[in-house]
Amino acid sequence: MLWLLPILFAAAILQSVALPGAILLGVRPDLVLVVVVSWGLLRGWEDGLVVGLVGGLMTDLTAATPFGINIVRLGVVGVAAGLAMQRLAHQGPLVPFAAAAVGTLLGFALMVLGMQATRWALPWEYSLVFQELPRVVLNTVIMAVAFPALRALSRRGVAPEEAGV
Amino acid sequence: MRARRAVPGSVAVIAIGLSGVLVFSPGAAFQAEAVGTRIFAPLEFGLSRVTNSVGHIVDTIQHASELAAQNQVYRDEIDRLQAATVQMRELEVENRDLRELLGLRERAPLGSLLSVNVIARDPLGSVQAVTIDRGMDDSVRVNLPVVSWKGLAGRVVEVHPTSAKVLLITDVNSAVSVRIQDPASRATGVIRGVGDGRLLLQYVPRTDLLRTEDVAITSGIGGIFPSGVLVGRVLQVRQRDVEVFQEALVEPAVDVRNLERLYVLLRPPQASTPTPG
Repeated sequence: MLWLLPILFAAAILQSVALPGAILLGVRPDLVLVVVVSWGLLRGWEDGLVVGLVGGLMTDLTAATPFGINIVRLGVVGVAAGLAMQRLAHQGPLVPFAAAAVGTLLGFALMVLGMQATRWALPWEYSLVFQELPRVVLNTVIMAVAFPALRALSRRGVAPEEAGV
Repeated sequence: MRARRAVPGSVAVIAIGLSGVLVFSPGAAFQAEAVGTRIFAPLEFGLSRVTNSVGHIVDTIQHASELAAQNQVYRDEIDRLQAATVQMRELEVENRDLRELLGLRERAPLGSLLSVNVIARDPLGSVQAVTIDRGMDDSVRVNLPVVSWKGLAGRVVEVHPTSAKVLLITDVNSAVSVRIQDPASRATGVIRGVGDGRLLLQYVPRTDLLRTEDVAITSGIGGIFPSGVLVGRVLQVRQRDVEVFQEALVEPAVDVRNLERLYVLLRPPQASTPTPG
């Protein structure tokens, strides 16, 4: 799973540096969250948790929000994605897209709670309408590319006996 | 869809433990951030460099006749003059910036200015903040004011060895004490970010004169920001009969969406620091 580190690193760097200015209506996709949700869906809640914590750490290093909020936020999102996948009766092709949308909103809710817990103000109504809902769309679109790519990488990254091949 | 998991539960427990230490132990978190930003900052700096296109000179075409050669000389001369014009325009912009900056220094004893580049923004936009390419190694400290040649941009909220994070005045967590520049008014109040890129001027007594197009400058009260730095222009005044204070929507002087070069005021004036009693 170590090879996932550069992907998380690149995602964290990309969303802080390269994407601003070249984005739609001033909204940035949450690339790290997309990776975390994908990995949780593919490998279960334990992997989702670890990838979420590492991805959150990388996001916290580039963010101006109080340190730790993104670690908790993405850790929980990773666990939620993994648990949801285990409990779903039907694992259809739309599940990753729905997971990206729900994961984005869950991440936002946790961000609001984290900001309030650390006594930072966040105009959540404005952010929800003008940032998060557009971000839901962007993340869902990116999921269409990210999930198949990560699934292919996941199959390569797992030993044959481990993957049950 | 799901392959068998690769991470044992013990690894997950260790990851939770380490994350708990980082989240709940400020010292460990600071050390981790310091190490992390040493890795991230150079990469962010490198990626943030925008490379401008370089003009190509083509001089390999040989002309058959003298007239054609002369024509080429004229063309080259036009190109050279056009390039010089572009360069002069750049110098003109730079000259204007420096004049504005000089005016800023003359209006208030701002202390030494440290030129910094914006290398990153908050990745999710939850907080309106930017990362600059100078930090503790260049004497940047928490709460130092940050300006552009247009006016006040924000203040330093987090410092690492080679980078620092600047909370912009448009963030809702930012508060700046301001005064209306118009000598007929001189009303004072507090400006906060609204969240949508604009500012809200609050706590101005209803008896004070406040009009649209009024210019708001820092008052120096509070000790963080020096007095006399341009903050913004009043767009709309809101008054209600039942309230003691009036408020106004203010357009910031600095366009926070397109920040590239900023200046950190390394030594804020001691005179503006409030004295007890």
